[in-house]
Amino acid sequence: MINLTINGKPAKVKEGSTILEAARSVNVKIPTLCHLDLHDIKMVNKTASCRVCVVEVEGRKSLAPACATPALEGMVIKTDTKKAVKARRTVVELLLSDHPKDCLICEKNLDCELQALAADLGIRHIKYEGESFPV
Amino acid sequence: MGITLREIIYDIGGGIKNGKAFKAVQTGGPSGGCITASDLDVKIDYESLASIGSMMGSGGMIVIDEDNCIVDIAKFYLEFTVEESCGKCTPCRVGNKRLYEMLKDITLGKGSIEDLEKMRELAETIKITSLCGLGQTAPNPVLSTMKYFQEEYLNHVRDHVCVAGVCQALLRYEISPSKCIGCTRCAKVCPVSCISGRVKEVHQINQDLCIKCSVCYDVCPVNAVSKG
Repeated sequence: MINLTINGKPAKVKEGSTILEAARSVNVKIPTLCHLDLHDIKMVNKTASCRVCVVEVEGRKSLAPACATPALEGMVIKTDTKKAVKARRTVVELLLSDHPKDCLICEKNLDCELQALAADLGIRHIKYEGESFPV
Repeated sequence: MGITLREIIYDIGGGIKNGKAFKAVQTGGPSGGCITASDLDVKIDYESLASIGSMMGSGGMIVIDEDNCIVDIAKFYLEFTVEESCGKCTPCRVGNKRLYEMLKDITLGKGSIEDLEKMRELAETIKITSLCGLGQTAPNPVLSTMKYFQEEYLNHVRDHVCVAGVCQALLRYEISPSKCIGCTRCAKVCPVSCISGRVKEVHQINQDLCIKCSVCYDVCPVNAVSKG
């Protein structure tokens, strides 16, 4: 078993667990977007590409993606610092920057993870705007 | 190792072409940072370069003189990283693209002072959230040029002036009435025919029509056309 601290709460998880799993075990919510856990077919997508789940790990300069970073003994993790929340917000703002603004007529309206996430983070206006990346 | 930047640029490199003034040197390729004249005597090694906000990186060195616009240089480096980004993580894929667009707007005279703060915040976030080294270092040229050449960025967004005369959209060509000899050469070559004036009379540029192509500036035999 591995012992670590998340937002001051002590957590105990199995070896090989991620920070995200450890956080869930102590009821700390870390938002995710690209992370996908299909329990039935035992497939887990943890590409750590959306960077929505970034958290602060004491002693590291950069933020770590919770969904793909293994929990290690003695880790001190903070999910609610200004640095982490601001980074998460910016990442969602960037995702929205080249996202179609057709929520009202989109069939995923009100059943959309991105929309819910933006609402959770209190994003009320599109901060960055620009041409979309060529597909 | 241990040799100073000044020795490399002025002794080994033979100084700056046409005796132009030194502005900055970018070391370490597109991920490195700008070093200004005040740090020219820093000895080149991994630690010293890191201590002044740049890096050894690829070992490359690009000297920037007074004729180069610092915003344009930052844009040039970012264009490269936008191109190189694999597109996996959000901050590098979208963030650098947005950063590049903001720089582009500044060079086109469409930037605002608020944009500068927005750019700095975005650059800092890209650095700490990107997946790999490319994204983590991509905003370095933007951050270091903004730190050392804040005045030049302000000139672009506040006064709409590009001191180096690189950003075409911010340039203004004018004919000096005291120098113009009325040879009509500029009027003849102007692709949009925006220069008026008769032979042996002072010519004038219609600023509304001018496309800032610089042709008049190049052909004037008495250097009566000023750019700035």
